[in-house]
Amino acid sequence: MRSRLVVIGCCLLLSASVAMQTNTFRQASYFPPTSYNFDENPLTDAKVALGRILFYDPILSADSTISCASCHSSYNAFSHTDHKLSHGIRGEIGTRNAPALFNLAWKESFMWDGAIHQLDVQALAPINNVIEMDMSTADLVSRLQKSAFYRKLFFQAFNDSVITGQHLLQALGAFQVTLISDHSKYDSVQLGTAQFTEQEAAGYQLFKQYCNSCHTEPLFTNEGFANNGLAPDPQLHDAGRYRITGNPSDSLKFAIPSLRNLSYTYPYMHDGRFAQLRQVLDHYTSEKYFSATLDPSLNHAFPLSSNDKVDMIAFLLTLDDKQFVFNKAYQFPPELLPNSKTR
Amino acid sequence: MIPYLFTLLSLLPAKPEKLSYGTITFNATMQGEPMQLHTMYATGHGNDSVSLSTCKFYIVDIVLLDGSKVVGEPELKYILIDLSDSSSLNIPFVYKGHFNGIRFTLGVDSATNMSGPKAGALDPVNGMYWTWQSGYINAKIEGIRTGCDTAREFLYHIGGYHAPDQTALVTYRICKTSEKINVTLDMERFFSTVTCDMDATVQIPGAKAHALAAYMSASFVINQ
Ligand code: HEC
Ligand code: HEC
Repeated sequence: MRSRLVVIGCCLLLSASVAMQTNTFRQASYFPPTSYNFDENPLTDAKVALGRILFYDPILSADSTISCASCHSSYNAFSHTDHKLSHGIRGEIGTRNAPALFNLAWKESFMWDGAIHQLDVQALAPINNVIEMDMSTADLVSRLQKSAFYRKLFFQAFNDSVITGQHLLQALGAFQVTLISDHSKYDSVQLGTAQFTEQEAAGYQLFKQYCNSCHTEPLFTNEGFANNGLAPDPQLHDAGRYRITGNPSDSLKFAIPSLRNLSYTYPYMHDGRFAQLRQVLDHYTSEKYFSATLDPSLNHAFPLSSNDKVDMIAFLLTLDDKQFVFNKAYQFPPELLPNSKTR
Repeated sequence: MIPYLFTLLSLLPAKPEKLSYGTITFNATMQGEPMQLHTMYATGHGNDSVSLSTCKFYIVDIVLLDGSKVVGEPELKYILIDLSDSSSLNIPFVYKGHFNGIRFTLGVDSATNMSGPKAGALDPVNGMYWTWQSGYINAKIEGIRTGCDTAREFLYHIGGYHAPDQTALVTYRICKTSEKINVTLDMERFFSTVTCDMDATVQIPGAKAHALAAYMSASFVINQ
């Protein structure tokens, strides 16, 4: 009996460590229900593996120089830290900072202005954007169709070696849904396997008082849009959500980003204007750029002392998820190495 | 195919009636003349002429009606009509008995707009899905027009599924029972409402797209 338990225990341990290496979906007990439609695009290992390969393959761009990972690097929690504004094909500079990608199954809309309402169709935006990848979807599908490597992978994933736009998008979506960040210190505290230090606990209290209404735990976003009082950049003229809804009450509102993995995702804000967390906190403790849509909770500068700020940053750093950022199963896939036998 | 036939058959009286087969053919005309792409046609208004480079639109849920009763329909729910692809213009359908009307929606329903990528006519490879935001382009009408102050390109990408600017509009026309139905997009009518002082470019959802969808829907004529 006892030895059987040990065997079962070993199996559980083994499968847990295997789960770290393959990409599957999981739902932490304290996370809210997901928004992603798994019925429409059921995850399978083959589909997720194909999505990962596509994500890293520059074949998706017109001149085969830019992949999704060029702007969304695993080491930066799938954001980009070298540039404030994203850099695409032929060195073209975009108008926004590339956001981090994780916990996407819980997101209700995508992009800084919520232009996209479904993860699987999102990839059409970078692929077709002339300053990002500059490929027509139809040309990309016929390019992939010519490759025996991809015909085989699409067959394994969809039981069909005729490549379609739908399958291309579903594979990319499936991989991205598996990018889950729920192994930070904060998560261990939720599970009762770790405790905040005194300083972190003090920061957590301040966080709940000032920030949680928008950056709501455990995802650290309430999925909404808000104007947090950044002065608009005179060159970019980015009105945020207003561009999509045409509703003046949405002017200068942007998607409320998650605060997980901030150590890896700098620079911050939709235009990457702040390089350091310190500057972000200074923003929240100063007078805001006033406009009709400024969130009422930010009308007044938050009264945080410099000690409070240190505590707050200590708490924010408990949201870093090393296991997520260094998970090999999310990184450059071996199939794409030049000497790979599968290619 | 099976589910459609099934609903169709279940609507019919118990006494088996013979199924008949027909074809709906779409085309675009200017002053009665069928339009080819990249060819100038006078609109009949002053010296105004129009040449189309793209004319593509979704026709969804076509049904043939006897009063309010559905008596016929094609195999597919979503059909992409593309003037540059003659094979897309003929839609076979089955019907029972008689019909006196035809109804279809010009564009894709909002539930489909809200969900993930689709196959077939709805696959984004067809270039009828916006890329910078989510949603189908229900119709693309592009070309050159000479009669305005200056010759100009026009570019109408008509779509949007949020109230009050929905662009998927239900279109109904009287139609006699026949195995051949010609549904004509009357461009003379369209360009007499879409005048030179209106925008030459509409590529986003909104009131203008909604108005264009209404003009387009009103420009369908049944020729029998
Ligand atoms: C040239 C840089 C660049 C490339 C290449 C790129 N992205 Fe992005 N990505 C961005 C930027 C910038 C945004 C934010 C755009 C906006 O808000 O308008 C973004 C947003 C996203 C989002 C929305 C995230 C959110 O939280 O709202 C997803 C998902 C995404 N990209 C996935 C991809 C995929 C998949 C690919 C490859 C097919 C890709 N990206 C290629 C720069 C890039
Ligand atoms: C009224 C809602 C609201 C409140 C309250 C709020 N934020 Fe924000 N926060 C936002 C929005 C919206 C953005 C994105 C703004 C943009 O890029 O234009 C943002 C961005 C950030 C970012 C940048 C993240 C990134 O990835 O770029 C950080 C860090 C941040 N907030 C921290 C905080 C902290 C800490 C507090 C509490 C002291 C706080 N926020 C309170 C709405 C809010």
